[in-house]
Amino acid sequence: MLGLHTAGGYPSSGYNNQPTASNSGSYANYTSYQYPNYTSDTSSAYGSGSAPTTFQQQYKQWPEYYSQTEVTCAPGTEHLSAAGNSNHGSSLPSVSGGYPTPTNQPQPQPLPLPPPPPPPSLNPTWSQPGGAASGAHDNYWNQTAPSFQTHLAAPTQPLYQNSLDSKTSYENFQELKTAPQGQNSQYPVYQVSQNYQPTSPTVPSFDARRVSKLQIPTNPRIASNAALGIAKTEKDGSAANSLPRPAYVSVAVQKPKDKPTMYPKSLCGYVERAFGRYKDDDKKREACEAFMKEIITEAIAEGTLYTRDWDSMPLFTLPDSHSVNTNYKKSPIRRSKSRWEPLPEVKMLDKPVSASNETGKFGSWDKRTFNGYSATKDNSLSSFRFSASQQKTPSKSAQRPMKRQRIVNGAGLTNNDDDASSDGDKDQSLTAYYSGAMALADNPEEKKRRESRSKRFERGQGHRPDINYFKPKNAGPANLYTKRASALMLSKSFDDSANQAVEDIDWDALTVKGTCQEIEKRFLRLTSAPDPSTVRPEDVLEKALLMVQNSQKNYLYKCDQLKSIRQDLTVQRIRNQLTVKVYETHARLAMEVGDLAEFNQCQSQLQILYSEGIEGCLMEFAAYNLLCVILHSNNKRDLLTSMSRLTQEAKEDGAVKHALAVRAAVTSGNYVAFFKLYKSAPNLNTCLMDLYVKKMRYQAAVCMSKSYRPTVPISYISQILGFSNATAEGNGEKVLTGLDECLEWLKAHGASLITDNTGEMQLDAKASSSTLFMPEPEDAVAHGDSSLAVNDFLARTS
Amino acid sequence: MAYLSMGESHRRITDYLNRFADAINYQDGDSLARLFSVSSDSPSLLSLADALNVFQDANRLIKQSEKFSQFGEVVAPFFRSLQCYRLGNLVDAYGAFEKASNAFIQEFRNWESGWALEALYVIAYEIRVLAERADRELASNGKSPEKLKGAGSFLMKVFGVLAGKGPKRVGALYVTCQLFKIYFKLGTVNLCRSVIRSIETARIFDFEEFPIRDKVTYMYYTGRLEVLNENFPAADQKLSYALTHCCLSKEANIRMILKYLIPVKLSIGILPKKQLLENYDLVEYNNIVEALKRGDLRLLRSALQENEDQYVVILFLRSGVYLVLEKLELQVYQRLLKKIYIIQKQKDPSKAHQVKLEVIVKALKWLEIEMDLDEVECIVAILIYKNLMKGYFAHKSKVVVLSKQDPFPKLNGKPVAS
Repeated sequence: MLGLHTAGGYPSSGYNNQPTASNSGSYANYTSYQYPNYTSDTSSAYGSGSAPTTFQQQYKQWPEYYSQTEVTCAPGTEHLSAAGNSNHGSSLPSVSGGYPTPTNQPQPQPLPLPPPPPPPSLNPTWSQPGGAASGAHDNYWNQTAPSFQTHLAAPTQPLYQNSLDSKTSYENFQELKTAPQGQNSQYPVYQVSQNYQPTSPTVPSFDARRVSKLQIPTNPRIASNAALGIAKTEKDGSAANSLPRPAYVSVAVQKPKDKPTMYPKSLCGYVERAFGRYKDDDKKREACEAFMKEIITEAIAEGTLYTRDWDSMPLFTLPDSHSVNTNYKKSPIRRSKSRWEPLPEVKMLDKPVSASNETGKFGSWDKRTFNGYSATKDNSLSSFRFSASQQKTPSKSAQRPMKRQRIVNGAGLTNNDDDASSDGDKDQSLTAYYSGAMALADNPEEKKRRESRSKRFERGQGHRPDINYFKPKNAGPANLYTKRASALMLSKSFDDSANQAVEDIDWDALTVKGTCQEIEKRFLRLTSAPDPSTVRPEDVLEKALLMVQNSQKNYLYKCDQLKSIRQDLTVQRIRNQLTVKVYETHARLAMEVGDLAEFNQCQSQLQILYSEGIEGCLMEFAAYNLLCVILHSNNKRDLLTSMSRLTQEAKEDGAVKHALAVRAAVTSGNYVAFFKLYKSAPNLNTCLMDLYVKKMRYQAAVCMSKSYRPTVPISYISQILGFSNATAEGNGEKVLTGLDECLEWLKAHGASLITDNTGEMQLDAKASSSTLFMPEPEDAVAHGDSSLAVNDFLARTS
Repeated sequence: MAYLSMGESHRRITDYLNRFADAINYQDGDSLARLFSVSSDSPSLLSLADALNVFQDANRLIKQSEKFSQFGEVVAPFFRSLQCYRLGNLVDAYGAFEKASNAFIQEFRNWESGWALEALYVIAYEIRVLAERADRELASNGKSPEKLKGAGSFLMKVFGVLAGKGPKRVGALYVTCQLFKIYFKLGTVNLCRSVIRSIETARIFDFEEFPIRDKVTYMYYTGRLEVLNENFPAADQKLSYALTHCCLSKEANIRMILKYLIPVKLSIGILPKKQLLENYDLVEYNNIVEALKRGDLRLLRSALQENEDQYVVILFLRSGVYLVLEKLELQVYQRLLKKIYIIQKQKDPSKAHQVKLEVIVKALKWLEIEMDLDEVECIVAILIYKNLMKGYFAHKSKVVVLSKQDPFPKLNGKPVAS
């Protein structure tokens, strides 16, 4: 037996990654805080030599779990799992005593022992086995259910079960022992595990993590729904969270019938069978050999070499375990030089630090997902490839599991009435189950491989979304949100692997249909999915628009109302003439008060709407657009594109013509032309030009003061700079003539004025040329317009 | 298409695979490049495409042999791309090609030397060209064209691969130029800024080190950007660099450079020879140059006004020189005033430096341009303000008083003051 000879060498070279490997595996060591108990007395006894055992155990376990028929946990039995859990925990201390004689004999277990509390003083020791610890929580999911299931299914065997569990705790310990070898930087890991610790049934903390990680727009109603859903099956929240997964009963724990002295015959047979599968593939044989070694070493270290039922033990699935290995053994920092070069064998020597770091970073959650994922990948050595490619870059490998995991999480959350566990888990175990079965059933022939691969796609893509979509419609709207959320999630997560998933999103089905009948509604930026009961349908929105148009209230009120109308239109995806009208109305109002930001928003929406062929005041807004680009953004590129987009018809239009003339005046600095155009502006072009007037006047003043000598009469300046009749009309009694206004303006800008011998005010050009300045606007407010000042608003509305 | 037997198809595919494997094994970048150029419509690739359409299970061929299967991730999608391309399905061709390119980039990243740069160039080029065609296809189907955008972000990634210390960095400029082409096409020129910044400031890049071909392209595009920014001295410098380094046999390229360089030169007061415009078929500038020479405002306006000769104007708008040309108006005014001044000088040298506003208005009237006194006054003021004319304007008497020394200073390569 090859494995036995070389077994001793492994701990130093091959098993540095123990903790991670075991994390990704399934064997249970959920009671990690047992560990301190052991360190004190047994450290010497279980040296590094015993390390491989845990590692191995999982390989035995995987196939066992998944090859056996599964017995799903019936709803209502969950409470038992909790009991089982505490049971296992309590059983461990006694195991430490029992260890010296490792047998399969059932240890008398003091069942009702309380689970040992995590002693805070143990933190320093904790930091060491962190990776393993977090892995333990992970494993808990896999493990408790089956074991507990055995309780249920075979009530005669509880003691065996316990003994098995106690064994796991050894392994846990052993594993911890090996940790010091490799885990140099356990600190981050430790923190993670500490996170889990306080809630001793680790699962709730997982759930908490899961929830916190979720990116789904969480509508409070969804959440409450979810809680409700869980409450259906579970009475108290924490218990609900710790729901075990559907269990796949492990029948592996069987009482050994015989105890041969050397390697048992059944073992030889097992090995033969294992090798037989890979007769014609050298590489696989090699890998297979390596695994056999591990299995046997582990069995020896564990003392189960003779007790194991090798005959009934299913063959391990090579790729599965390998991909697990490579996923975590290969340092994510360095990847193989090129995938086109011969691939290196599994890199056992790679720094475990990185692996454990990964553990720390993502907690064991990822690993499980990752594990499930890789398990489905492929059934042969070709999974080396996959796992290698998954590790492409450290950052990527770090990202990807996260991404995938989100789907699982999403599924888990939206799926509230699944009795045993989250969907993701279920799904994963399903996929794992299938792939495991495949591996057992088939030799890794090409055909079979393809089949399993296609299965993977079925499962991986088709199935998960399905689960979400087949939810009972317990709450109509909320259900919609979850759909949307999961759809979004899918679109985000599957971007690399499954484009179809993105395209499959049926946005129509996800669109909200409003039911609100109130005409008036305040604008509130949505922070979650819209609620149909607060969204107004189209006919109500029409009334709302009319109301705003006829309203006598101030701009702030109207702006608020229009924004809420716009929001309602957007969330209902209404894009028609009403939409155009709303945006046009808002744009005009914004222009009148000079609210450029709001105007720009409307304008850009209008551009899109017009380009979709929806009718509106196209020309008018084309002119506004031009003016806006010319006067305010001053982006040459934009100007050119909007100019070249103008049709001949548009250029004939009065408003557009005017805008183009304004542009010409501005670019040449022709202030005379500008103010002529200012007076003759159609529509609301004046409003947009208004915003540029100050600048233009200043430019003109500077220009004149430089080029005119000796003086320029104020009357002339007032006339050409558009002062005379611009504002004099409407002010009633307090008429300010254009001349006075111009005078004031010039003074404010530092012009030096003189009175000539005829008594006419003149601008002293030479003196002014050095004194002109642009004063800080007195009425400056943060949002650029005094009419929007808060005080003003409050005064007007109250 | 003649009937193609299975055997022949099989032979062609394995032949391609062998050549591919050889190119990689012998690090033959040129051969590898040829194997990737989908859009070149080379006979060998076209016949391969036909073969692929006959022999559907090419993937099996790739997987069969260890020699081929190691680059299956590149070749398999490439085959699909070629197939789709041959069948005229450009959107799928682009998608598959991007996948193949992605896999190739992953490998390329690991090659220390830059032997495969040629192949990378072809890939960058193909990505852009296929994306453009795919977008055309999408647009004609009424879908939103988005592939070119995707190609942009893909090339950005490629740029990241090249922007390192190694010998591969000389390839960065080529990718930059392809990015420019994409951004200019998409009208998202502001995205150029980040690439330019890394080319011009990153210490790993030595501009002189890049291939001359890429340097010319780069200068052409950055020059165009400067034209948009109306930063004429910089535009002049960059476009002149492109012009002097451009291969003389590439007349189309020289024409493209001149298309921007001429307006830039005009706006800093340098007029091209008529011969140049004719040699490079840039007659659309004839009228503008003529207007500048004669001070003929009418001619300039008609050249830029949108009447029957729409085509030229739209051309100017598209290329972005319209605004530059429009700004030449002030120079035309200057020329007109100078002409008046010269005529006055011939008549009566002592009073030549006093130009009456009425005279200018009259001159404009002859050019059939109706402007009132105020407007002309304003123009004069601007001319003085922008230092195109030395002197002052006396408002009371409505007279331009010109300086006795050099009343109309030449621009001499300096832009008009703003």
